[in-house]
Amino acid sequence: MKIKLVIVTYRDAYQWAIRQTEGSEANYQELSSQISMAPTDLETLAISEGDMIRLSDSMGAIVMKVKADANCPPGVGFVPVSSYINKLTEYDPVKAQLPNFKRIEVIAEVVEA
Amino acid sequence: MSYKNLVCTGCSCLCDDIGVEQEGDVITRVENACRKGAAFIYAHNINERRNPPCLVKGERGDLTEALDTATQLLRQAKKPLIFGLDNSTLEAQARAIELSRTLGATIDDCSSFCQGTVVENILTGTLPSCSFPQLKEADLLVYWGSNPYHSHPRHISRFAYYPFERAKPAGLSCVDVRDTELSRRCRHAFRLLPGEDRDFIISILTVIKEDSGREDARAFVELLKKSQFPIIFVGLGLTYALDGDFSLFQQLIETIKNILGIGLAVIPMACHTNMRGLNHLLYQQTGHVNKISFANGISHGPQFSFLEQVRNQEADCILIVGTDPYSSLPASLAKNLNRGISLITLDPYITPTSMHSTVVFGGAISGIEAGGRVVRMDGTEVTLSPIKETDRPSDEEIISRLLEGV
Amino acid sequence: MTQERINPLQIYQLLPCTDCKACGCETCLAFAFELISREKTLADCPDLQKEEFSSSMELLKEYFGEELEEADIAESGHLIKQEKCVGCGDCIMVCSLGRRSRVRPRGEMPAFTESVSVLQVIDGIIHVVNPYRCKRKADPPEYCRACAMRCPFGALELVR
Repeated sequence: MKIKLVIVTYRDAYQWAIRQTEGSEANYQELSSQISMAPTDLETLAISEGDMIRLSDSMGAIVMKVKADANCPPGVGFVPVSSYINKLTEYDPVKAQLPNFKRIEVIAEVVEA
Repeated sequence: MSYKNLVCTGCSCLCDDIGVEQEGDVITRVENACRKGAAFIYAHNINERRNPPCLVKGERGDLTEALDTATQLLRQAKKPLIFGLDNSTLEAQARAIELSRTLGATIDDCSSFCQGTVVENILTGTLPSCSFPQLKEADLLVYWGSNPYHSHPRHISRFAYYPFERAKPAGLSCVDVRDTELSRRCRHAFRLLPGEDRDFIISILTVIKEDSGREDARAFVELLKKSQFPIIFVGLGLTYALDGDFSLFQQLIETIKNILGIGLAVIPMACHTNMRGLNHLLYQQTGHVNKISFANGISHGPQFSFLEQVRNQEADCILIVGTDPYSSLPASLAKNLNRGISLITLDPYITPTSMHSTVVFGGAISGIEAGGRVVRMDGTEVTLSPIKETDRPSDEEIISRLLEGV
Repeated sequence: MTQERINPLQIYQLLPCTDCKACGCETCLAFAFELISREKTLADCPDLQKEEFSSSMELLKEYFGEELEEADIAESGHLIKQEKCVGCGDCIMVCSLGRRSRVRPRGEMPAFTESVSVLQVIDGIIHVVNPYRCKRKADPPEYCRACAMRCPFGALELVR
């Protein structure tokens, strides 16, 4: 099962603070690899909170842990900004003047255990 | 030793009421700073995270040797580029501009993909702005595309909403695509879908002009009409939704002024400590806030943005000051930095960028170990008073010596 | 139960509601109050440990978290969830004492110079520094909840 998602990155104070004191260690990676998604999208993918999904676009693919967020609109995923999600972001001046940090179009699919 | 009134350089709020206690060389207590600020101040204690004062090709060297190598690289470069400086003081930035003039280099900072356009519009007078103390008169605060509780935690409590004894409490509102800590506490929170900001602005314009449009745009206009002096804090969310083109937003501000008779002010939610400082300096000297080339006189244009320079592999030697493009740029673009470009990095901390650099200067941290002046997000100048003595050179010192060498 | 603030009735609905008195409380509702004031713990209810209440237990555990030490609750009744606090300082500013502690040197933005308020941000997290200045400890006590109500992160709870 695959669905299309638009990912919006945001600033997370806890993650930022951990980056300062611990660098890119385990805690930082854990906080950076969480995606908040609408419960209806979770149903479509037949997954539950804590499962892993694979996000891919023309730039590459990464795996993220799913968090359900009832206030998240369907088709949208929210991810804290970090170098991890930057594997998917792109800068193409034909499409936009700025990199697509706030609008990353990806395909999400379930990762088999 | 305890110190009062330290300026926190963790973000561009530049809170100047931080108390610090220090035992020997180690900071043991930080008062009043938020979680981000405290983490920032504590981080400099952690030696494993710091770069040694000088690294040449991965080996520890002395300052003269590192300066020589760096000068040589800059001199040999056909198209040198200076990038960053957002965490350096105004003094260091002034020297860096001088250095790029001497080298005929291109100079750019993170503001070219951050809040540079807003600052430029404020400096040219196309967007009205005000300083934090003037917010006393404000009666409506709208955070558009930003969640201050995570980006600038003390923005609401110390600068915008709580500090003033206003006759009537100001209204608090936000326009955001996410459900945030701020939107949950605002009575009027406007939720948009990603990329819908442009539609929302157009709809507000039609509501004002023709009295028809989206329901939420109507509510927004009603909110504005009740206010005398509203403020919009422009977050990165809005900048990115508008793709850095604020002409529509300007039209909105003008329409609100001309038809509703409401004077509105804008403050950018700048992220980096002194991003606005470099914008101010470059504007004074060249008439533009970023993306400047000194190769043939002064030229400005999108082709001189760091993103374009890296994408087209134009620059052959980059002096990176206090920023980490390997982490903050799209990975597809950061890859280009590996392709035969020599990197000289000034960064107190070990970052992916410093690990890939030919020469690394682990300088002093502005605000804690080095003094100077910086510009707050509202355009006010703040003087830093360092609390620690260090033998590490400051950014200003390193850049000055590079300038002498070149 | 991801809601930031919880009331005793919401807790009560998750309890067995048998009023068995095994915990030492007269009713399950009384037990809910004591859970919130942290005078009782989830382990005090024998029925709750049973399989049939496992889903309730999960939600309750999520809310109450790890077991607390008495010292975690300040004299003034403040319980601070350190992992949630971002140190924004809103709680200081909504407190009438906190507002008074602001001074304005050089006509600039206010600064917190003395820790005369009940709460202060230390090391990026809110701490109770003067519990006896809190209105809740005055005579007669005033049951003000301004700081807990205004915490955007639900990091501050008034349990007593």
